[in-house]
Amino acid sequence: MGMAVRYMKSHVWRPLLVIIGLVILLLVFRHFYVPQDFGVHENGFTYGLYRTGAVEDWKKVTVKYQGEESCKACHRDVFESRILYPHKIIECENCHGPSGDHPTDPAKLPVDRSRELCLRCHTKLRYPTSARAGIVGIDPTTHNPGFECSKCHKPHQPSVQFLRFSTEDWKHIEYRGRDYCQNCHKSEFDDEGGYPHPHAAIECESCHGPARQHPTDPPKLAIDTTRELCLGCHTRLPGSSTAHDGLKGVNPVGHNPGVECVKCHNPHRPALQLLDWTKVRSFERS
Amino acid sequence: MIPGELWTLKDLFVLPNEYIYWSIQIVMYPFMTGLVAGSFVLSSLYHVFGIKQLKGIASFALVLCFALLPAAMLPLVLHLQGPFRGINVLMTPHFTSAIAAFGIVFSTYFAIVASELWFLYRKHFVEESLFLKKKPHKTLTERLLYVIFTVLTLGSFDITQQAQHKDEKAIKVLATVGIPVALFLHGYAGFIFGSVKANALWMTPLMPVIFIMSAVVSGIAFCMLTYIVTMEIRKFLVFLARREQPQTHALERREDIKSVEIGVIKMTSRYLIFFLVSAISLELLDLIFRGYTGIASWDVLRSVLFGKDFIKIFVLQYGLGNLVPLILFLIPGLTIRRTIVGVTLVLLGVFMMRWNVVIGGQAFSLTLAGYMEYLLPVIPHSWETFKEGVTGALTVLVLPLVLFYFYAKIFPVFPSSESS
Amino acid sequence: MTDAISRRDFLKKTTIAVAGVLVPVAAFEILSPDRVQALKTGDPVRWAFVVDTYKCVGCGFCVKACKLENEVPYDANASRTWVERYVLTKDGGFHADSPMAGRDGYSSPTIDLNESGSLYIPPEDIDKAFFVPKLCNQCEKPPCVQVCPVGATFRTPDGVVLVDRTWCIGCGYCIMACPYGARFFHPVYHTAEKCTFCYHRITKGLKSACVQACPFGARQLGNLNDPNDPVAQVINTERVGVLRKEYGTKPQVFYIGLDREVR
Repeated sequence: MGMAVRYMKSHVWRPLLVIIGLVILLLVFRHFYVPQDFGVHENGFTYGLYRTGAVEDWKKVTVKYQGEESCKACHRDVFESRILYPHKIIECENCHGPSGDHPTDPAKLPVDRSRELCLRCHTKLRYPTSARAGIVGIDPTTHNPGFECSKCHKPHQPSVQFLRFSTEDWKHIEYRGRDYCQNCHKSEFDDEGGYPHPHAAIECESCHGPARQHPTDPPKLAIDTTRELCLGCHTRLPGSSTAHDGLKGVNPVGHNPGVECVKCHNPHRPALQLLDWTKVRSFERS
Repeated sequence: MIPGELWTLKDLFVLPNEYIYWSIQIVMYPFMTGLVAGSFVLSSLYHVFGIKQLKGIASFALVLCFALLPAAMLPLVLHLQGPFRGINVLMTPHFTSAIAAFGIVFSTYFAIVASELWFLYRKHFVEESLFLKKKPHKTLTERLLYVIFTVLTLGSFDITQQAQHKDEKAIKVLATVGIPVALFLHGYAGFIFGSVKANALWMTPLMPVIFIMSAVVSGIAFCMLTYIVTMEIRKFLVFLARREQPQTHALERREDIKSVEIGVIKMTSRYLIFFLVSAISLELLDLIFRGYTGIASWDVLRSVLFGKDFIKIFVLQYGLGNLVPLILFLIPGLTIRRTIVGVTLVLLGVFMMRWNVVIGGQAFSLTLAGYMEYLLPVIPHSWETFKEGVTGALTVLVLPLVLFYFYAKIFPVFPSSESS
Repeated sequence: MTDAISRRDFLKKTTIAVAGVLVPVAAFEILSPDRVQALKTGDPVRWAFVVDTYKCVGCGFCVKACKLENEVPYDANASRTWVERYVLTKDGGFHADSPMAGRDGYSSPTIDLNESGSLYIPPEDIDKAFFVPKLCNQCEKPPCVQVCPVGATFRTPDGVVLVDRTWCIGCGYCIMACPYGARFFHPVYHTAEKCTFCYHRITKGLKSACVQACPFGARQLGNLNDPNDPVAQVINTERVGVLRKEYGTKPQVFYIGLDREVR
């Protein structure tokens, strides 16, 4: 025993004593520094070493997006106007921003009229296998560049029937309106055999482009006979027998793929009863 | 700005959240710990294995090691997004993480080196303390030194032959124990990278071994370089002093200075050669395996290794940093001048190895279809560009030399020229 | 009469015997499959996510909603969730991008190649092209949690990986360890940041911001412990894929229509 004490009294152990002292200091500091709820919880040491208070911290984050059900309570009218597909699938807050504590804070939500907002979906991207290909769209570089989409299109009722034809803004973009066309092209406006004209609702310039100073400039307007023009409205919705808004539609993949619609259908007289069956039959045989 | 965005240039398909987060400071950290580990191993070669020719450099290496330790911590402190929380690694270490080992290993290593230094210089502390105690009128510096030396004695003034014998035994024990700890200190740094399965370049079991080999290489080279430089400076200072006062006897005579023993250098360089060969062999082995097995990541890795980083890897690291020094040391008739060139190139090579691992591993995207270029900030225009740029790296490099200068006043590194 | 047992004794002993047998039998309660599932993890909820890449049109409303809901600076070039675009051409070409994480949607057919500029691909050259929304996979064996040196990131019992902002030291090891690129440094808090499945919303019975924002139903969040949950049904009965299965992270985000070229 005495030997051991003498051995321990040797100076050799002094550095170790200093180190032990420092470790004790560290442990004391640790006791005060590390929060009490820090430890190994569920999921074991590898995945479960944490401070339980952190979970509560995350739960306390304020919710900003309230969801459209909360908008419906006050803005019922907008809701009813939106029941027509296709924009009813879009949450109000996607375009208007998070409602937070509205109407307390913010008192008003912004109305974003920028082109960029609409172009997120409505830039035409012909991507096979993606649902993007089925969304009507335009080429933003040629379709009225620089103009707000909402000058002509109503965001809550985007279907072509509801285009803002009669406003002053429409005329600014060098669109003249069907009355201008009717001055000369009277036959296009005639009935034929009494059949209803579903395309009467569509402005001539929706398909033929702006009239501008026609027939001076341009002398001829474009005649777009691509399938894409027609399929923009007449694509059958997945799981449905009609296109949007109850319009007649086809499955583009199955219905004469690669063939222009105008080979059989007359765009000015699209009623099925007026279909040129001779053309249809001759096409089927070839 | 996302931290890292400032010096990252993305090309082709890179994920939105990917940036070069681990910058020059993360290159400096393994470089510095490599110097730490290497200098310790060098010192231990004398104390443990009794290689007599290394006696002159042994104390020098240990003091340098001690000066390098705080400098090794600095890159981490500068790099952390929350530097004041750095202590958390010691408070709640998550041992499944290689970085958590840092706290324990570093502290242990610090304790070992400090203790070994204490035993090595205990006699000097006691002698200085007693000498200064007797001095009646002390200058401010002398008073400060008196306090320092007395505290450093840790209350023990026993410097009998018996006590000194115990000291030597303790040194031997510490130097022996310290070798595996030093290897672990650097091996874990390699583990940090080698265990990241998400990174196609880092992921390899060879990484800890490659890091250890190149760490020892860098440590030995750094010690050799500093040793030569210090010796030459001392010789030059004496030469200047003698020119002014040729009669003075109190000054050291140039001949008394143990001039750089070419024998020490030659001996040390043999170990250097061995570790250089090991380091390059392992690196080439890793490269060959990757090319041979050619897994999905090989295409983008090949374009980085043989394309963008070709010069950094094959010219600077393998060529100038490994092959050329190997030749220089193998050619018989080694001179001091050739040694200086050789060790400088070795240090360059080791630095490039750290760079090629850390930055190279972030040079390609997780998509394996994009790249990221690292734009190292040179002229600092903010705190961030200072600490994470060339200036930050230089600070880390210079700090140990500054510390060493002050340490040498307390731990005299040239035993033959000790003045009492 | 000595061998015969008294009626009282018989009744007493039988009662004790039956009671004694009933105790262990009671332990074997008839368990419903629902309860078996719940008992497997010991928590009533096990969050999982389904992404349908056929439905995603690249509108980016999810990214916008996530940033605003979770206070990630809108102009910061990083996001908790993002949308990638892949365009695969007839000549075997591979093109992909994710400009500003898809925050502004995809309003141009030109691919953003960062330093290499931009590339317009004519539609007739495209074999297939699609959008892939991505987010944190909330792995069951998260490598990011394994490498955190201080225990600042962890996995909750209901399966979400969170970061303790008060404890994270900002070393970035978790960001390096994530094979999916889900993590980044928050530019304001300077701690590691990642998708939390909107933990503050889902624990209140709401849906994650991105799930609510998606007009096309490309994102769905559900509870794997509830066999009647539509998401659980999709995962269990339809063909779904996960990202980087070989890393053994056991991700909890499942993809419908995962193409071989998705990174």
